[in-house]
Amino acid sequence: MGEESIDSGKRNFLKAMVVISAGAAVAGVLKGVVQNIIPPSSGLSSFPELTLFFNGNPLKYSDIPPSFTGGNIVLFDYPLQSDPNFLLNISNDNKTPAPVEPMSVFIPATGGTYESPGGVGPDNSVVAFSAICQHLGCVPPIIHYYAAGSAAFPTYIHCNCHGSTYDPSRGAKVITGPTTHPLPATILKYDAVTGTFKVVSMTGPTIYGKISDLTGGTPLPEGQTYTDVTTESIQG
Amino acid sequence: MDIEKYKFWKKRQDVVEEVVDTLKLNELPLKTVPDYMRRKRGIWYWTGALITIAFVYQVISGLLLLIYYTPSDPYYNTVNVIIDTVPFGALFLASHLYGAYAMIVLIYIHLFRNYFMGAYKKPRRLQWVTGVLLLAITIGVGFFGYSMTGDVLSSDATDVGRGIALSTPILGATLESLVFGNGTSLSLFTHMLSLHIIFTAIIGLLFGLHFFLAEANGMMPSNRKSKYTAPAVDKEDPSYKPWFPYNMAFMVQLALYTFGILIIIPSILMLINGSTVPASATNPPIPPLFSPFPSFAPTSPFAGYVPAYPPWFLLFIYKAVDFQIFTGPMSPLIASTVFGVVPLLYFLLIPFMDGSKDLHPLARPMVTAFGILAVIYMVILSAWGALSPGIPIPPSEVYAVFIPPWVIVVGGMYFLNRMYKQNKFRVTSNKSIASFLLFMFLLIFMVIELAENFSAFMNHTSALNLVSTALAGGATSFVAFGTMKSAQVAEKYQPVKEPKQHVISVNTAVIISAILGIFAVAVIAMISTLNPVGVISEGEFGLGLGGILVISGLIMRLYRAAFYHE
Ligand code: FES
Repeated sequence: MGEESIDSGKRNFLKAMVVISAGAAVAGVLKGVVQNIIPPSSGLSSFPELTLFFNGNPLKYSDIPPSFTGGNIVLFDYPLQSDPNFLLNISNDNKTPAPVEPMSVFIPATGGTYESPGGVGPDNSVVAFSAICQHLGCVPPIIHYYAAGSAAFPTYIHCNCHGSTYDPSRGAKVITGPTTHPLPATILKYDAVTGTFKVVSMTGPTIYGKISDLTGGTPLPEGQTYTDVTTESIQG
Repeated sequence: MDIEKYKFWKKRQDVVEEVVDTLKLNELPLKTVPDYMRRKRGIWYWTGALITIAFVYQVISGLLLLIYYTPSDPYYNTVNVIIDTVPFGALFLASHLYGAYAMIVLIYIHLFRNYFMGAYKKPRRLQWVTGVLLLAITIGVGFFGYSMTGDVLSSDATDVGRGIALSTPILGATLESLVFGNGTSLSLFTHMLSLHIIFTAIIGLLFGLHFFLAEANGMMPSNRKSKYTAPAVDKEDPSYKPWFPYNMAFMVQLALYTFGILIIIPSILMLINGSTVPASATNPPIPPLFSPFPSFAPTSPFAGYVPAYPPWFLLFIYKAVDFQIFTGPMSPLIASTVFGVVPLLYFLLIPFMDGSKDLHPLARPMVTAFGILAVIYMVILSAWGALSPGIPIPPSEVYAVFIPPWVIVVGGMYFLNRMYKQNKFRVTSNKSIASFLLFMFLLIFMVIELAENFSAFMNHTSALNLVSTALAGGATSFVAFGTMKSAQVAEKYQPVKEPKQHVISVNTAVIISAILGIFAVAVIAMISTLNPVGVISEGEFGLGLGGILVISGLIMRLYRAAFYHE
């Protein structure tokens, strides 16, 4: 009897050793698998400073009169590829640029505010915002800017997916829901000497669908110091 | 013994019983086997199990890699994303490659073992046919997988594949687009990916049938039982221990060893390689055929330094395409038919061509001879392909290489068969060991000779040529002695009496297992802090992990030795 229980104790000890070392192996495998299936984040570590290019040359103020940014959907990618931003020259009559003041913008979802940078350029009227709707992520042309004089939503950015409306002359603050966040503001810099525009960073809410503005996409080709301004025409 | 402890063990015992009951582990309808199959050298009987374990590893690692595969830019994605940035991506990629190699090698071993044993005969004919099909499909899956990286080797391989497909009469263009897509790179890699997975699924299904048949037909009984006559059917014996826990413990041990080795080998190669792309293009640390990682991009200036190799397991067909005995526009197709399809058909149909009841290798001289020739030709052709990739070979050289082994093996087997029939052929154990050693020596000598003198070999130095091939042929006859001997040993085989005492004393097992267990825990603690990204740290992690798996297998082995007396 005594013999037997000693034997079974040893038996259990050996079993425990099998379990421990196999457990260690399983732990190692699990660590490998779990870390492996979480994809490494793709993106940048800081906001790049990019010159806005238009048709292969640095964008001039004269390229974007109010009638142009109001009559077309004018976009550029920032900070990553496939992060579209609206470029707008704000005006109340689609002719005369209207300066946009820096102001603090209210976020309905959190009750907080943040500082929106205001317009740049000779008339302090050029602004840029993320062009991805903060409600559920619809992109242009479904969301776009309705120039002054439009039948519906004049001077507003409106999203046809579910009807969110933003006011780009007041930091793209929320005019009507269902969105609860303003459009993130893209910060521009105007160089009066060379007459060129640079895009330098973003502020406000995070771009829709991303953990951070800088990750979750493919960076522009390495070493590229510009981002192209593209246009599509407004239909309907 | 104090009562608390007793209760604890009792409870634990109940849990174990519950698990066993729920999973019906002791009622699994699996065949039981005699003890000798689980003993030392018993591994020989489990090549099928090893292939299955490797296949499981391939499916798991493959599905993990699938998460990251990008057909639109596979080379950049494999090298710069999977290897360079995905945690443990390099380790999974390299071990997936080597798992495939292991599967193919093991399948060949499994196939030739059963071939020489005559296991293809009734009642296992369908089982054999599914097995040969599994080999062919596995090679196909290997080819598609190899073509997925988009490196210079993969594009060479798909180019050769396209060429062979296109030279098919009438169906060429259709076949080519069926396999390789419409010509765009995206279509090509999407096809490689889908075919890789589709055919893996087919392997899974066909394996199910193969395994079911294996269980239904049971194992090949020992030659003593079968008396070398088909149908060789084993009757389960009451002396066979139940599947649970004896065989299960053995399977767990095998799986732990196999997984461990499958991870250790590529890890070592990763450490040798040191970086993602070889440090030197002209003199890489690991020859391109066995590199754990993709080679250079086809557009890289270094691509020219890499010989246009197919995966090594297709080298033999690849060399055959260089033979100038095949001419004309259809020559690639003819060469790959003669050296690929014809042997495949031969192996597929052998159960129907060899209807005799004889299982002894010497009683089926031509079958045995063709088997030996198949091995010899495959080895020679592969070595040839590796050493002189893409160099055309005039017919005289081809015949000089192929005819001597043929004459020696076929002739040798003919005479051995006659001696066997007259019962004159008797070998002692020493003689057969000596003949095996001599065979190995000659084989190694031949390979070195071939490698050393290759330039001379290429310069029509037929004397040398003949010497090396004659050596190959001479060596083959020793294989015959070897099989003959093993057959005789088996004939005399008496099941060893169950040893009463422990194979290893329980105390020794306890001490060794404690040391191993502590070691395993120490290793896991050590490797868990390694950086999951980086060729070197991933190689070290793999080495440690593989080591722990092998250690676990060792403890399992100790347990079986101490308590199952196996
Ligand atoms: S996504 Fe724009 S309103 Fe819903």
